[in-house]
Amino acid sequence: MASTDNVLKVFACEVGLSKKTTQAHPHLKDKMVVDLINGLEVVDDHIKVSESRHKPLARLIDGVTGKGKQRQNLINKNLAEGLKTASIWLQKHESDFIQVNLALGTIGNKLIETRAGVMKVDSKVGSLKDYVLDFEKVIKEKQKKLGDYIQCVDLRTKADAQMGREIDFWEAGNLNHLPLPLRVFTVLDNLRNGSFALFMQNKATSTERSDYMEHLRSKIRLAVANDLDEKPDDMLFKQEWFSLYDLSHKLDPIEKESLIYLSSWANRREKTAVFSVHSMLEEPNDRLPQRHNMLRWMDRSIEEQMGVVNQ
Amino acid sequence: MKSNKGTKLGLVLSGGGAKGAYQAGILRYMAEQNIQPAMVSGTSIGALNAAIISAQKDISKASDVINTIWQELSKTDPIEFKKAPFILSSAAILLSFSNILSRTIVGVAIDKAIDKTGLVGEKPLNNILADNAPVKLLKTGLPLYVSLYESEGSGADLVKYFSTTLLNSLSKDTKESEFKHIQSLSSEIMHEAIMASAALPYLFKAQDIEGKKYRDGGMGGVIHEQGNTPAQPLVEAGCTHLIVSLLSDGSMFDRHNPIYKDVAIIEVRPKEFISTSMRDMLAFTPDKIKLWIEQGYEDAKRCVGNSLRALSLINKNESNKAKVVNVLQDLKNDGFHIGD
Repeated sequence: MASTDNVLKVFACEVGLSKKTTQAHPHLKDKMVVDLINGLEVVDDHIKVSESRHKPLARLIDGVTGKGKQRQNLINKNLAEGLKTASIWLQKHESDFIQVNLALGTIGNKLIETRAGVMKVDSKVGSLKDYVLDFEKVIKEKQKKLGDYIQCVDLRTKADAQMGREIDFWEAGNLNHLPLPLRVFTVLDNLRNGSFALFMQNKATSTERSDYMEHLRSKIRLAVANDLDEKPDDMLFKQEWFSLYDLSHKLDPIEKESLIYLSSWANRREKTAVFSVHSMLEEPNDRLPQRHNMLRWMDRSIEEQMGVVNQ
Repeated sequence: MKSNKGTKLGLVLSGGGAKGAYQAGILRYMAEQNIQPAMVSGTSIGALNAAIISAQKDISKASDVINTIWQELSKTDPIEFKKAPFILSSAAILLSFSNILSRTIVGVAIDKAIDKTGLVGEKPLNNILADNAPVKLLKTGLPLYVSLYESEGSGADLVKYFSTTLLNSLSKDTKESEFKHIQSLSSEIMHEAIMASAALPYLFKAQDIEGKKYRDGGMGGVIHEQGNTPAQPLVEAGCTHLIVSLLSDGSMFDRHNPIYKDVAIIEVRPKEFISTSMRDMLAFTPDKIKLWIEQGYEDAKRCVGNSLRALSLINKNESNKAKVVNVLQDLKNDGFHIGD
């Protein structure tokens, strides 16, 4: 920058001098130029006449009268003035060249400065680009996490809602036409195929899954206890549990058929609780045990029906 | 060279009789290039041309009028010799050179008689002036200066003129011509002053201007063509640039005379010989006039054109330099900075 300033100072100084000179003599330049260019025409004219007066008499007359000398003087004067002008003009040209070179130098320096600036900008742009890319990555991750979180919250809310809805539906007596095991089966089957299952399978952490399962277990126990009008811990071997089996004989055939289909996936050895429901619907008298630990059956049923979503 | 601020262009038209047609060619070139003079001066035929330019004011109009006049002049010779004074004049011219005219009573009487009439009638030239440079237009026209030589009688003027022309430095130069600003004269004598500038001894009568007898201004300061090339009054009137039309080969007009030190002078000089004898001064013939008009045009194109081209290039260069200075200043002051 310092060298650029110096160059500019020198340049401005020269320009200032040049301006001063031309302003002091506004027509000096025109006269100089015209004297040089047009002076050659004058010289040509006199040379033309001189050459025409080559005869001895004419030369004698020109010599005696001084016309020849006068003519020669004019030629010399015009040439001398022309050369003087040419010399000044050349100096002016040199000065112009110096000014042009100074200007080029200044512009060159400015160009270097600009290029350096552009390179700095380029480097900054490179860094900025990396930063922006990293930032974009982070933002995308955050966005994804936020999306997941929102989806998780959404699903959890829906799962909570579904669980509440199903239990409320049951507790409102809407399943009273079914035997108790089928009420448990129906509620669990609905949860198994709804938002609850989606949440448990996709979004819930293992702790959440464990908590939700425990919560579900409590809700079902409470609902069953309510239906039996007993405390949950006192209903291990309640006669009503078994007497309610009879209700299955009175089911609407379509509903019965539907429940049979929904429970058909259980096999006798591994899914015994659900299989018992299936059997109760298909062959009630042959397959059902006469005495049954209700709590154990419920836990088993929950485990079998919700096992898929609790992994 | 249009009238830029601070530039005042003058047009100087020297004398040369019929060779004045050459100036019609110069005007044609100036009109083509729109080179408009601010004022004009002339001697002899140059004074007549200058008067028309002054009256017409606009260079294009003036060029058209003058070119038309010269083409007409080539058809009708403006020089009408009067029969009666012809013999008397011829005798007087002979007597002039034998130096008898001014020494004898008869000689002086003849001289005075010729001075009052002139060998050639003025009517054709007066008509040209009346038609194309009427006093009314002259009064509001471009400033016009004409060169006048104070007469000492036709014979004496002629002898002095020719002897100085022939002997040059061996002889004492003729006295200097005076320059009259036409617009400063009274209306009655404006045309007389212009005619006086063209009044060659014996051919035309001397003109009485403000109490003095005047003749062709070309006779003054013969050695350096002071009177025949009336550049001086235009310089004194403030012209910064002059276009000078010279109607002789190898004219001794000196552009480096100190009185022109601050003036840019473009001389239009003939590249080819403009005349081969004194008779050309009265050669108002179609072929000669056509030739001179073309010659004037070509010479103006060369002399004026080359000078103007050079000036134009320099002006462009100066203008560009100023732009460069401004750009550099802008570059310096633009506050451009890129931090670390």
